[in-house]
Amino acid sequence: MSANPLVRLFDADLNSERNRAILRFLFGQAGSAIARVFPTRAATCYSGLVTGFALAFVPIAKEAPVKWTLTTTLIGAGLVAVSAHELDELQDDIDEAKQQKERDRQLRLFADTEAKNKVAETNLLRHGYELDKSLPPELQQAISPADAETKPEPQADRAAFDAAVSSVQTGQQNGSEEQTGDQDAISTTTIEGVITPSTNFTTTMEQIAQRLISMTVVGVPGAGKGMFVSNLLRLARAHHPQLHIFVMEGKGDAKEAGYWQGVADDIRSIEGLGASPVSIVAWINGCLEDFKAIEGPKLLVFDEVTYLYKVWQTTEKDSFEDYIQYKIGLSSMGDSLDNYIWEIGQVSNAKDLGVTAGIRSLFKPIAIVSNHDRRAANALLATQFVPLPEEGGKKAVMNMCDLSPCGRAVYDYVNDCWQPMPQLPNLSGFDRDTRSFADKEPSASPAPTPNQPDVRADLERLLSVEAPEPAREVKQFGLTAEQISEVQKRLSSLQAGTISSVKRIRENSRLLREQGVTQADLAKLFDYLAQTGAIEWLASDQRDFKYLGGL
Amino acid sequence: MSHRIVSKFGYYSLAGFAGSALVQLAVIWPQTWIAVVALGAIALLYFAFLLICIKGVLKGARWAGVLNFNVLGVDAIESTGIVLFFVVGGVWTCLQIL
Repeated sequence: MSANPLVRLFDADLNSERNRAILRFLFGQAGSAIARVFPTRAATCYSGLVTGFALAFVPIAKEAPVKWTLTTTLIGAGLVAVSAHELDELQDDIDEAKQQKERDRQLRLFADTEAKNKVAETNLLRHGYELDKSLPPELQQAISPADAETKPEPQADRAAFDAAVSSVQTGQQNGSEEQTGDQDAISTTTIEGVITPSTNFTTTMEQIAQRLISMTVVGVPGAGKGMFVSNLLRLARAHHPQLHIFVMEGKGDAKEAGYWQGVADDIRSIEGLGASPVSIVAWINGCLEDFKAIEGPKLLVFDEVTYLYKVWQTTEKDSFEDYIQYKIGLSSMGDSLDNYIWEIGQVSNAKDLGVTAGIRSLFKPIAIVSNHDRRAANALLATQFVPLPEEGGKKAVMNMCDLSPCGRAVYDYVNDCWQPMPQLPNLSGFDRDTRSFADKEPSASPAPTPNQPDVRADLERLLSVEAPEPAREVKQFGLTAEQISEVQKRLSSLQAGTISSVKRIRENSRLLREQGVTQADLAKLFDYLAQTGAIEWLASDQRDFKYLGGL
Repeated sequence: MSHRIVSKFGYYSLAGFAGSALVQLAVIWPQTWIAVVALGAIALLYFAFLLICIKGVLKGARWAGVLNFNVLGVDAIESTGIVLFFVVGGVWTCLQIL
């Protein structure tokens, strides 16, 4: 506010708490009455305006003495001036409040879609399964009883994995002599029998492996890009034994080393998040020099390009531009030279990949989405990178995810369509869906139960949409999995920013009403959702909330 | 209705009150009539200039094309409104008092 007392007087909010207190102090009960007459700032302004007009006009109309009329005209003009100025300020404040509200909404949406994805991605890269430990202890305690119950699913996966390894070993005993390790065993037999469900996509993978081409594989974090590419590499190796496979991966995660071991001729790894940008760029340039020096058929598998390209672009744009030129050259001439690049990343926006949309289209697209993170999947599907099914669009893709045994759908350039992804062998030995390790050694006995409860996996499973849930009576947050799923479905139908209440969620759901779910039961779940940032309580009574998106 | 419109109307009214106050002052202090006449003449010139400009623009006259003054713009309408209120305020007060 200005130091000028006149301006301060004009800017005075006549209806502020302070002015009301002054009125009460000066006039006692009458002061409260005056304050009641002007319940709002607008009422005060309009009252002043009307009074000003009355003072200015009435004496003239009544033919009062000129001295009187001049005085009242000037007083009236002053009142009108103050009131008009106050009204102007009032409208400014209203507009500002509206803009601020819109800015807040945009920021929340941005934080919800971009920042949260980034944080999740960073946490996955940096901490992997240890992310669970960031959950509040009381929540872990609340969920821990379910730990024993969640084991059947990993056991089922484990059984499939064990069966695959057993078949590999049988193959080994029958005549394979040149095995160098378990991973080799997996790779050679993968072609024959591990990808047992004879689906369209396994045929497609065979086609891709036979007829190599430079391509870009994109997918949301944890979608299975590494798993897909590692399986594809083993098929490619079988069809092109002379191919030099050069892997550059920027994650540096030992848990995922199994993807490349036994199939790649060169594995270059860097812990991208821990390394400085300069050392990352130096590492990339060194790797690329080595790759370019290789003679004969060669394939560069470049993992984590989203992050590495970003660092590269901002640190050393010149060498990045050189690489883009090299890429363009490979896309047109690489086929005849048997030189290829497979890029693996999380986003498909041309800008994020550091190229124009035209150059991006030179590399054939593969996209993988999962129903574990529908929001991220929707974001990927919203790009122009891959076409959506003509009938059904995004919904059709998500339906394919639901049909897939691993909850994923994949788009490939060969068939130019989306299809459910079959269950592929996990060659890394670490299952990111369940955040559990699969033992490399085959064992007839069930996997031992880990001591630490897998809180995040349990929550993700419980909150995942339409995930088939085994019939059991385990309760989390005082609710059954079916009831939690119902709540989640109700929340998902809300637009981000919608104000709702726990009561309304309960009353709008026939299931919750019929099963006699109380608001107190629901409140525990909503407390958790507030901690995860999916909702925001509007008041301390924790009844009304704002849905921030994220489910 | 936006508070902004009412606020604008309040500001324009001030021009009317200024015209009225000037006439009332002239009644008490006759020398002020000189100012009233002068301001009235300026207001007349303003309207004359405005009419000529509008005519020129509507006819598409060459000289109107070089005018850096949008006669149908919001600013022109606003300034016209202020002059109009000033004149109306003064004339209405004259009729009431004299």
